Amino acid sequence: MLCFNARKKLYALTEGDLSGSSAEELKVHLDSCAKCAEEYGRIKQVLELASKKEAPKMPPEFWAEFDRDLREKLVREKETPDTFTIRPERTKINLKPVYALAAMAMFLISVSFYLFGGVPTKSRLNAASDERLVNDLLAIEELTEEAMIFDDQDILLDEIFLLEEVNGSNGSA
Amino acid sequence: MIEIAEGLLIDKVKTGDDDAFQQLVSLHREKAFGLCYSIVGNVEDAKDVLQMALVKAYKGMGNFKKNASFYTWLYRILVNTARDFLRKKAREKTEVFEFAADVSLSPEKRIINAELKQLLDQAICTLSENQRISFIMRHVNGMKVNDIAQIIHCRPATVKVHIYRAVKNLKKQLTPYLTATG
Repeated sequence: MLCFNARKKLYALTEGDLSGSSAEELKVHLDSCAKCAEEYGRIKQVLELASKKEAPKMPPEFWAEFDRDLREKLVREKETPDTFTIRPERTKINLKPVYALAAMAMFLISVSFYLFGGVPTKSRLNAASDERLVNDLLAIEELTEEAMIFDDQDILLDEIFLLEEVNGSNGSA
Repeated sequence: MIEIAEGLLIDKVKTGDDDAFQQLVSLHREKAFGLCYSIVGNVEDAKDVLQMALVKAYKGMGNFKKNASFYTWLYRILVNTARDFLRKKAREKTEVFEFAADVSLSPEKRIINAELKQLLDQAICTLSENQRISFIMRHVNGMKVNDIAQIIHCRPATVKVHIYRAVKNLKKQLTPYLTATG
C-alpha cells in the first residue's frame, strides 16, 4: 500500500469504518512504515484529547438558578402573547398537484395562444357564423314556403333560372 | 420507559403545561449543556445558548411530531441557536474559553495536558462552522454520525467528510505540540 493511500484511511481506521481486509492491509502498512504510524498516532492523540474535553459538572445550585431563569424567561415571553404562543401542529397541505395543474393550465393557455393568437378560436368562429346560419335557415324556409306554391318542381326551376337571368341582366346593366 | 415518560410530557407541554416542560428539560439539560459548552467554550454563554434554545423549543413544540426523536429535534434547535450565537460573537470578536482541569493526571502532565487542551480549543475555533460542530458532536460529545446528520440536516457521508477535514486540520495545527509531548 502506498503511503498516500494509507494516510487517507487513517481516520477511518480509528472509527472502525474500514472493511476487514482493508483494515488488515492498512495495519500491515503501519507496521512497516514509521511515518504513517506516526501520523496515525497523532490522529489518535487529537481524538483522545478531544474526548477528554468535558464540560464541567455543574452543581445543583447552578441548575436551580438555571430553572428559575428559564421559568422567568418563559413567563416574560408569555406576557407578550403576539410573540409567544405554542403554535398548533400545522397540517401540511401538499400543494404539488395544485402547482402541477396550474403549470399545465398555463402551458395549455400559452400553446393555444401561440397556435390561435389573433385568429378566432373555433367557438368564436361558431359564434360569428351563428348569425349567418340563422339567415341561411330563414332563406331555406322562405324557399321551401315558396316551393310549396309550385307543385311542379320544373316550374320552381324555371323560376330560379328566371331569377338568375334577372340578376344576371341587372349585374351586366 | 424514559421514551414513554417523554411522550407523555410532550403531550402535556402541548396543552400548555409549563411544569411538564421543566421536567422534559431536566431529562436532557446536562447533556445539552455539555454540547453547548463544547461549542461556545464557556459556562455563561453555554447557559445563555441553552436557555435561548429551550425557549425556542417550547414555542415550537406544536411543530414537534411524536414519531420523531425529541433528542435530535431539540439538538437541532440547540445547534442552530449556537451557530447564531457564534456568528454574532464572531462579529463582536470577544471569545473567552474556559477549560476543565483533569485531576486524574500528575501535576506536570496536567499542565501539559491543559496546555494541549487549550491549544486544541484554539485550533477548534479556526475550523469552519460545519467542521467544528460535527467534530465536537462526534468526538467531544460522542454522538453517532447518523444522529449528527439528522441534527445538521445533511447526509451521514457529508458529516464524515466534515469530521475527516476537521481532524486533518487539527492534526496539522497541533503537530508540533503532539510531537513534543509524544
